[in-house]
Amino acid sequence: MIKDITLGQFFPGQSVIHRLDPRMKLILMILFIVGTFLAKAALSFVLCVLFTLFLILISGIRLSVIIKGLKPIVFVILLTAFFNLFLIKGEDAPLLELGFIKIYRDGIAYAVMIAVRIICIIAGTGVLLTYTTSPIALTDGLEQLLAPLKKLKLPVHDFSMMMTMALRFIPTLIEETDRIMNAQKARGADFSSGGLIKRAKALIPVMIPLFVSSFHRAEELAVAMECRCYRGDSGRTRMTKLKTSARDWISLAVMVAFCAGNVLINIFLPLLYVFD
Amino acid sequence: MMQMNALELRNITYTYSKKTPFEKIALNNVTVAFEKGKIHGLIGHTGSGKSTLVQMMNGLLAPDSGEVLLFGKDIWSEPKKISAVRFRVGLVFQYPEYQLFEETVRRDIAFGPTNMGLDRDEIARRVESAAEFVGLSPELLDRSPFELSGGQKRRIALAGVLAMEPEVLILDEPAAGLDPMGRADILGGIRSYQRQRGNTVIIVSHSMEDVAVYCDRLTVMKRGEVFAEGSCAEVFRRERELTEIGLGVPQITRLTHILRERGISIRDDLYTVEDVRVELAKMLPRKGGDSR
Repeated sequence: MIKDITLGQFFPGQSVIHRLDPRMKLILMILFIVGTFLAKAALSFVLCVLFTLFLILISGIRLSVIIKGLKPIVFVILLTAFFNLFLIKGEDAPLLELGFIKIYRDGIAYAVMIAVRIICIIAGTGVLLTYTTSPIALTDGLEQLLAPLKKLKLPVHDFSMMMTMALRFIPTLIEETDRIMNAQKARGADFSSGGLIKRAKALIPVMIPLFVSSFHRAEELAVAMECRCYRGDSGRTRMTKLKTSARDWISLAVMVAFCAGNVLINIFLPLLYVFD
Repeated sequence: MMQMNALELRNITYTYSKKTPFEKIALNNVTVAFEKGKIHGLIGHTGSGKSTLVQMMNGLLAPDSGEVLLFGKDIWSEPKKISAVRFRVGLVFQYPEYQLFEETVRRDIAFGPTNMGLDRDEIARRVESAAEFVGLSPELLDRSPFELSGGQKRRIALAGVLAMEPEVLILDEPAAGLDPMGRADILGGIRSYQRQRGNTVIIVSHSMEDVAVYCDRLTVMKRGEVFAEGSCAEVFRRERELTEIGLGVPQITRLTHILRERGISIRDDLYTVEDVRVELAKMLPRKGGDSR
């Protein structure tokens, strides 16, 4: 059944990363991406890999989950590696020459570097954010982090409320789709054969009831919210206030150290290979 | 004469979300048969597996193991022809009014028959006879289903399945969310349809009151297994066990059971207030004339 798919892929847990303030996690994620892009020397890539493994270890997320999460981008990694391998022209003589195909030392290095970088970023941000933060905490954190933009009259609260609700109703909609599809299948609808146009047409009996019930639901939800005196952002207080603790600041320090480490390695330990 | 089984499920096992942390056994070695030409009640709590079982019956779900026999033939013997099975086993889902999508009532009811590949005259005939059966007046047929009331929408959805003229008709909580009048209307309509056509009907419900009145035979499900099976009287004799699993028996039947426990001999196969009233009236000492 389609409702089996995990959404947002949040895995509840009690690790240090799970308990970090979601605002800090968003900042840490940005720093992590920056840090990974700062890596230039071969050794700093080793540091990236080690640090990513360290994050995975303390998050308590199983390695098999991370690998499963990487599967959808295997194609992208292979494609970029492929182009780097064949299209980059180094200054020194090619290592291999087969007709018009020339492979340079730089090509191999770039291919490996880009692959490592993508894998680290996907796995690292996954562990820092998507796997360890509930969607609700995430939107909460995002709203508060973007709160200064309210001064510019940007409806930050409204956006985050919309996002929260959208996330909340994804499973409901999936279940509903499943139900309607089954009901139409029971009346002989066929979703799995025929060409593209036929299949698209076969979805009409699913889409229309789905839209109709979504509008109904939205209306009911709006009424229910108004019944509980929801009137948007102004004057609204929170039940759970986000608080930063020592843990958050320590993790920030670790992340800054990671970025600094990469820069220092680039400058002082440019062994094997350095990219420009 | 040997009674034929319209539908028979043998040793059905089914597990949801296999090989994930959310794995859940929905059906555990279920064997159950539905005799031809009868109204069967399928009762059970939420999560007892009755909805899963129902989806096995028309091939929406395939069992992990076990067989589903439709008039003695395994429906999965030719997986490519499974949609033909769905025309023979009509399934009306819970709250079926949410499946309507066409511009007119007529076209919505015709969706099933059109998928069957029938010719236009036959489709028109079936649409009209199905609409008549559920009590939709002909002038409603050219209206949009979305501008009609909830009760009417449910009748349209029901007509949409009846129009396929299935040999076995399965209804998942057909009376859910209706007022008492609407319940009696729709369940009574289903019964007169069955009596007229002589086909097989399976009603899924958790209301003992409803199934007692309208069904010939009952199957009680509990946690993915068949808990009890038999005629209403046979099943309701196990009142204590039924109460333990949170289903109970119709209140009026419970009354007769209590009376019997206290030594008053009253029949134990009565399910309506009216029947019990008649029976009790017979027992009252007659004081010259009417016992009312």
